[in-house]
Amino acid sequence: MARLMMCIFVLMFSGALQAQILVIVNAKNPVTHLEHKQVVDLFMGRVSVFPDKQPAQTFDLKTGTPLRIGFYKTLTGKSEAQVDAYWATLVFAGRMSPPKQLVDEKTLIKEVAADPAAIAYVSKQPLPANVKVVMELVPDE
Amino acid sequence: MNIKSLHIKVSLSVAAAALFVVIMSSQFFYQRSYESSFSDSERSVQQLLETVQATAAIAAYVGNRELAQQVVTGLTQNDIVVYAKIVANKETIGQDGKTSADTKQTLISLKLKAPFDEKEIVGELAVAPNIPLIALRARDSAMATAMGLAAQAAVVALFVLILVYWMMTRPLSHLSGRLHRITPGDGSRLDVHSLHRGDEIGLLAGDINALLHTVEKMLEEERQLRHRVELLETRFRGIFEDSSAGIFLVRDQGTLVTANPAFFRLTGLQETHPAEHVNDNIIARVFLDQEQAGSLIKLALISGRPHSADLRIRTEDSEGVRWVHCIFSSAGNAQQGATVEGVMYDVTQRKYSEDRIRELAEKDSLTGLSNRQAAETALAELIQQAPIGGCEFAIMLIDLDRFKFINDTYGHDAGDKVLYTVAKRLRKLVRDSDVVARLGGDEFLLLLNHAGNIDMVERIARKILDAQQTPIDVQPGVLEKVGMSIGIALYPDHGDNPLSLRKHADQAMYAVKRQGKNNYAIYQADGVSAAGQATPE
Repeated sequence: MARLMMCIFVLMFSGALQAQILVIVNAKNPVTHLEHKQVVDLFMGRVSVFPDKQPAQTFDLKTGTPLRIGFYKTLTGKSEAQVDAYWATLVFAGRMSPPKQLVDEKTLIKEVAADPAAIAYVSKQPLPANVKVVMELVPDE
Repeated sequence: MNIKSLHIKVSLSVAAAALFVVIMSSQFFYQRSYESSFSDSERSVQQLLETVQATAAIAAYVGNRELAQQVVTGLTQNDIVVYAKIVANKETIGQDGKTSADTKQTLISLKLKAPFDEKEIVGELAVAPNIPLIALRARDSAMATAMGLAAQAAVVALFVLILVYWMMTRPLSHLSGRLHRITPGDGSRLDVHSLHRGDEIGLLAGDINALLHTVEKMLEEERQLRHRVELLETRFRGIFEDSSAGIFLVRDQGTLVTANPAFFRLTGLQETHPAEHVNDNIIARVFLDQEQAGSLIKLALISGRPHSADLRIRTEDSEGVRWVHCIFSSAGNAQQGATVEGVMYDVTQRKYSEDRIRELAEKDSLTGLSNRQAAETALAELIQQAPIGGCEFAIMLIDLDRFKFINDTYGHDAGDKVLYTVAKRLRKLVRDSDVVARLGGDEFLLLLNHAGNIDMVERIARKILDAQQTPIDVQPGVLEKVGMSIGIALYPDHGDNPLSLRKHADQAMYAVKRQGKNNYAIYQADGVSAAGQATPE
């Protein structure tokens, strides 16, 4: 049943692939809005705290996910491979780790809803009350 | 090896030129090569930086010290980088290598841009290049270039040298060596390699050969000419040497230049030491009549025509005087004065036969006195020579008193003996310069030179008469005395011509005969001429 649901989801969103992407945090998080640069710095590992110095935990989707490709392309202008290479470099140097990858958007939403430090991205959709949008990304294409 | 040889000169010149080119070009190329090599190294550093730029930018972006350290360590692995560092947010997040005061100045830095935002500068990557190493490499590279060039120039110079030697100096020195060994006239010629046909060396050899040919031809002609001259000279020398006539060359001062053997044979001079005659007056030594010879020489020189005469020459043997016929002619003017050529040949025999003929013509064969002819000639000459009012002389006409008797009594031989003895006595009593002649029969004539004084003449006459007192042995055991009548005439008092003198002397003599004979008389213009004093009988 759940599998079927997901399939429907995928089909539903595949048509609106170019649709907006939402960056979401826990509703309890005092941050209400993030600049584009702040989002880049968080997701690319430069900073690990929100502007109010509260620790931040980034969540990502599995490699190869269309949303992930779209997200990074829109956010940094880089391809997914480039982003992965970037991370590989940093990981190889040590002490750094890329955002934690989750299987799908649903899990992401769930994770953000549960963790006040979490930050993640999802495609534009109705969201539960315990998460809030801090930035909207509009893909170029 | 000869330092002046063409090959050495060319070699030194080429070597000097090559050295010059090598020095100049290697200096230039060393500089060029050094600079380009240096900038290459700098570009390499730049490229190195660009290679690690992305990673360094990531490190600076996230402030990752590990990554930064990796980058700088990687950079300093290159030996052209001595030091590298990455600065992010004014903080050095990674550095490696040694720093020193001067490396700071030569830092090459690169601004690091954020990986996701081109506009944001997130840090700086700086490296210090290894200047000494770069310089060393540049020097090595430049040196290699210069050395290569030098070697190239040396090789080219060597080739030029070898070619110049092969094509020019070797054939030239070969040519000069051959020419040096050739003696003109030996017929040898220069040979040239076919390689040089038509070029300057070939032309040179050809011209030299032509020159050799000309010289040889001239030498041959000269040799033939000399041969002909020698032949001619031998012939003439033969004539000169073998001539029976004495041929000699004298200077006008009388010194001998040269003479043939016949000359020495004739003159009796020593041929073996001609040098001793050099300063002698050969004319004075050879000729008795040296003044005559001298004047002949002068005449020959002045007139330019030959002059000849019979001259007497001095001889050491006792055979008597030798006569030569001598012809002098001018032989042109040499540097040491005019020379005269003389030719002499012996005419002694001819001279003697001439003398004999003259003697026969002029002498009385019986007495050896002059004959009538000679006496008349002598008288005429005497008158002709005597200057007017100058010397005087006397003539004596003598007739024997008893000659006819002796001749008839004892025969012609006795008569002849009387005549001969009287003649001898007369000749003895007067001076040699006086002429004593037999005019014929028993008649004698005396010409007394310089006897102008009457006293002197009378004294002579008396002496003559006295001499006849000695008897003559007309036959063995028969002694006879002869008297004589002497008639004297004086020149010029008693006649200025031979005829009147003879006539007057004759008259005086006949006066003596009339008065008793055996006396003398001097002609008197008044008719009687018996100035004489009768000799005591």
